[in-house]
Amino acid sequence: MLTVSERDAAAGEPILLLPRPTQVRAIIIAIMSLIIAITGCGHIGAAKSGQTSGIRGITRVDSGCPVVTSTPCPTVPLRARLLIRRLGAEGRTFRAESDSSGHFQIALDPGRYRIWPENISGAAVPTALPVNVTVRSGTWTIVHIQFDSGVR
Amino acid sequence: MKSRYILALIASPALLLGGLAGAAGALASPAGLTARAVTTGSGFAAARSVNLRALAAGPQLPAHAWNGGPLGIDGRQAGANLPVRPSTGHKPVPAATTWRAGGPNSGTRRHPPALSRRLPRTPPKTVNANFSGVNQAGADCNGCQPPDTGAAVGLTQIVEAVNLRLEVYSKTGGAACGVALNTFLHTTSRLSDPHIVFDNLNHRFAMVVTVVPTPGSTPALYMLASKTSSACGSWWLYKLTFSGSSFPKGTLLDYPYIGQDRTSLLVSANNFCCGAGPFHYTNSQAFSVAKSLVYSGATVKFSTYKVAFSSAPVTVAGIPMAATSKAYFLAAVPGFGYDLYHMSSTPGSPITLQAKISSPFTAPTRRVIQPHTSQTLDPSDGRMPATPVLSQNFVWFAHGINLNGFPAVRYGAIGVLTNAPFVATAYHSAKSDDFNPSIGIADAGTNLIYAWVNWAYTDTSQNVATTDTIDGVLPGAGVPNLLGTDRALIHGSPTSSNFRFGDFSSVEVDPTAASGTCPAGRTAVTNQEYFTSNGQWATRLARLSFC
Repeated sequence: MLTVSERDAAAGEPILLLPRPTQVRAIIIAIMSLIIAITGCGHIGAAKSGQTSGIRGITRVDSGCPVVTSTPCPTVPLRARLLIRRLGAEGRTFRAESDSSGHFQIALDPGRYRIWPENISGAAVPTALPVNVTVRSGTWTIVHIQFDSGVR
Repeated sequence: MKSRYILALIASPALLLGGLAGAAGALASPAGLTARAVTTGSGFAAARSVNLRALAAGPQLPAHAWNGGPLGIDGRQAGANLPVRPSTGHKPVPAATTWRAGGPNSGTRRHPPALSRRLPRTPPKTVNANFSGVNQAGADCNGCQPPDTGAAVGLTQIVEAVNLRLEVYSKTGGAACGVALNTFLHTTSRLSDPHIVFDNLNHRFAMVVTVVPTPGSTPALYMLASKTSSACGSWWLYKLTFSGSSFPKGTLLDYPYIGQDRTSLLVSANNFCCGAGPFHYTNSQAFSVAKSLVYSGATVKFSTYKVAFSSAPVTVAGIPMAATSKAYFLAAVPGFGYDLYHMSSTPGSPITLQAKISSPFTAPTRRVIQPHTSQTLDPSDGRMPATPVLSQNFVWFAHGINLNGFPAVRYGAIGVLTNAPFVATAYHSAKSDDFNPSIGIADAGTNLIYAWVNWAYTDTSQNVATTDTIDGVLPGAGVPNLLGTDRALIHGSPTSSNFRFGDFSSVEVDPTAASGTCPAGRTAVTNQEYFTSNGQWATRLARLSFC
């Protein structure tokens, strides 16, 4: 399981959560990733020491079925990127990535958050809708994030 | 923090330069775009001749649809993975658009239409025919869903193509002939996404059907064209095969569209790699094939060009269809607006980006809710469920959107000379879920059109299950909102066994007069999905006139 710890993004940093041209997002995400790598703001490996609350879950995608019979299209794990913002706290943004088995975990303080899932490739699909979650003290909130492959 | 930015920028000059170049392209004005056509694939096929009636009477090949297999380990359904929560409140009434000087369907400045503000919208008055088409049990698809609904209308026939059957009717709904697609295409390959159109210039039907690949198989798409105006007779059958870096072995050409101008059949598809799945998206490609080759059974070779996801070819309006200098492809891009591509009207020409047009919308954010069941339906993802139509200098289109938490319909037109968008909203009621739209356009004079807008809705607040409906726009009315003025064609039942919907619908303008007092260009044939009392899908065909 890939675990990404909490990262504080100071107010005013240009993380874009609203839809913008893909290329602009790509630049900003690339710059922010480099900042994280250089400054060590986000470290991969373990949850923040002592943190007992947060979000964990799995990202999956349908395997792509132009038509189906009686059962829905099977799903498979998807490696994906998650941008997480605490609701009502401007500028406070967290990032996580699920691993190849789709699992992710991020330590967060109790509160209400919105997760914006993104595919890793930056392509038009697969897509997933934003999800609102509530993190309670001393608990890990389980989130299933389902991507749409775009196959119809 | 400033120094960190500088460090980051120094550390990744290539990334930065690439990103800036991309951003500049995305933000450029249409005039500033320097798009270059890049071909990364090609296709080839030789023709064989097949006869529908003979094949239908002979030995039948087994239906071979895609079988989705078992549930994923989390047991969640996919294909459209939207939440199912009901919406609270109601839809807003969007700002009125209606008539605007210089806009689409506004007539000319010298001769503004008299009709414009008096009667902005009305469904077609006359229902010439309204009948059920293929249903789930009779579709030769082992009960598959969705039907991928679509139909074309010729001189004397209405032809419906669904998963996995072609059915031909008279214009009043009488059965003429029909065949399972596996038998018609003489293949045991898994098939899906049939799409059919009528060429009102050359009096031929043309269609495409995709092949769901096996691992390592050559990517392929079937293309067919009838040899006469009768769909029950002989056809030219091509198995188009694709090669190049955009078409790795095992690529699925998903959601193929077929459109046309006077000289070309225009095709596009989304490429997903590879084989038995899971499929992942790689790119979308578009190409054109000369009608003169396809209609004569000659070998076809062509290059393919990269386009945005679900870029639909634009069919030219007119009876017969008008001569144009360019052909177009249009993609609806959630969060942004539209990508418009063009090519010269010479078959096989490169396809290049003309403009990225800002007109933001959000794709539906939840699934369609039905009364009396917890089962929900797929409203799709904001793409166009049918090909747009070019009428004079405007491309008309329709697709699904999110409107205050409800699935709803957006339709409109884009000026191909100005790249300016004109959009409006369609829905049945303030609490209905509206989805799977298509649009048909007939020229009615200089910058004047008739429009048929076809979609499906549910309205749980009124206990109304999936209903197929029609609304319309009269010449000179501009692009008005269509709110609650639609006419229901069939009230269906709830379904607990179907969860997909569409994925296509269609409107095609009838090339013939409906009567002595209703000339050609006033009538169109619609096709849409609904559910019968046993919860199985069926299709509804209607022939509707503005007379």
